[in-house]
Amino acid sequence: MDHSEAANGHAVERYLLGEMTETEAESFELHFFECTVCTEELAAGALLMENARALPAEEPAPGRVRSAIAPWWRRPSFATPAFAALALAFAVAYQARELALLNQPQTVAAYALKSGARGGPQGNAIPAGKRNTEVRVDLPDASFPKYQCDLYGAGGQHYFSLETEAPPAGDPLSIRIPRGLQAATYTFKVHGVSGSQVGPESVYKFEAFKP
Amino acid sequence: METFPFDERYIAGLRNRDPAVVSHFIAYFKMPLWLKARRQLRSQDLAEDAVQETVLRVLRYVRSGKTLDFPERLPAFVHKTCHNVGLEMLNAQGRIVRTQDPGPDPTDPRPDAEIQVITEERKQMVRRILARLAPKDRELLRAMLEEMEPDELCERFGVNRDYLRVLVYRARQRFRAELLRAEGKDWVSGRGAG
Repeated sequence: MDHSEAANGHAVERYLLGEMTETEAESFELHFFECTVCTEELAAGALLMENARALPAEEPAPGRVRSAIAPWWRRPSFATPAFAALALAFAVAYQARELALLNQPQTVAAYALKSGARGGPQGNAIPAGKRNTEVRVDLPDASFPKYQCDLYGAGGQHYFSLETEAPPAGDPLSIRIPRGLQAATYTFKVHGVSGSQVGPESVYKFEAFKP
Repeated sequence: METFPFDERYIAGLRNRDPAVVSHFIAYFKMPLWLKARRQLRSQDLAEDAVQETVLRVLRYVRSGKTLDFPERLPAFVHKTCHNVGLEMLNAQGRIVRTQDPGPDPTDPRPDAEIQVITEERKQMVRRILARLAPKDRELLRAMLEEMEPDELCERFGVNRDYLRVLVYRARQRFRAELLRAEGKDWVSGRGAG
C-alpha cells in the first residue's frame, strides 16, 4: 500500500475501526512504518480512543456533583428558574441587537486566498478586527457536494469547523466571519466530503494584520 | 526529530551505540510499534511490553554482528520482529503455566521506549471534543471509542459505516490539532504532557 492508496482508501479510519482484513491491515502497517504522516494520523486516532476509554470510570465529572446542602440560592428550586429567566432576558436583548444589525445593509470585505501548505502566509494578508470579513478560496477539486472547512491558529488551536454546500460551478468557496479575526497567522483547511469519500485537503495560510 | 536515511551507516550507528542514531531509532519506531502491537494484542499493557521487547530484539540483532541485506528495509524488519513478539506474547497468554521471566540482560538494559498514552490533559481534550458535538454524534462517537461493534452501532443509531468513518475522521483531526497546540510538534513521540 502506498500513501495515496492509504489516503484515498480511508485506511486510518478503517484500521482504527477494525474494518480491514488481516492482509490489508498488515499492508497498511508496512506502509505506516515508513510514513510519518500516516503514523501521526493514526496515533491521533488511537490516543483519542485510549483517552476516551479512560473517561467513563470518572463520570460524572467532579464539577457536576452537587452538595446535598447547597445554599438556598444554589438550590435547583430557586437557581434554575432564576438563571433561566436571566439568560432569557440576555438572549432576547442580544438577539434583538444582532437582528437589528443583520437587517441593516452591510458591506462585506472579501479576500481571496492562495493555497500553500508550507512556509509562511505567502502574501495572503487580510485586515484584522474587521466585521463581515469573507475569505474566498478556489477549490482545486470542485466535484464534491459538500466541503469541510476548519480554521486553525499558528499554534494549531482550532477556531471553527463547518460543513458547507459546494459553491455554484466556477465560483470560489466563500466563508463569512461576522466578527472578523484577531491579528495573527491562520491556517484555513478545506476538503471535499461526499458520503464516506473525503477529498484531499487544501491548505491556505494567511495573516490577519492590524491595519 | 532529526532525520536519518535507513542505510548501512544507520545500521552501523545502531551497532556501535551511536547515541543520536539509537535515540532516533527509538523515537521513530515506538509509535508505529505501539499502534501495531495495540491492534495485534488488544491490550495497552501488552502493547507497551511488545514495543520494549521489539526495540530490544532489533538492537540485539544488529549488535550481534548480523546485518540486513537491504538496510532500507529496516522498517519492514522492525515490523516483522514486532509481529513475532506479538505472536509469542499471545501464545504465552494462552498457556496456563507461564515460564518464569528470566529478567533483563544485565549487559543490555531495556531501552527507554515508554509511551505516555493517557494523560489528564488529553482526557480534557477528549471531553472538549465530545462537548462540541451534537448529542447524537456525541453518544455515537463515545460508544464507538469504547469499542462497541461497528455493526451494532450502525443498527442502534441508524447510520451507516461511512457516517462512522467521517465522524472519527473529524474527531481525530480536532484531537490532533489540540495535541499539537498543547504538546508541540513532538507529541507523536508519545511522551505526552504528563
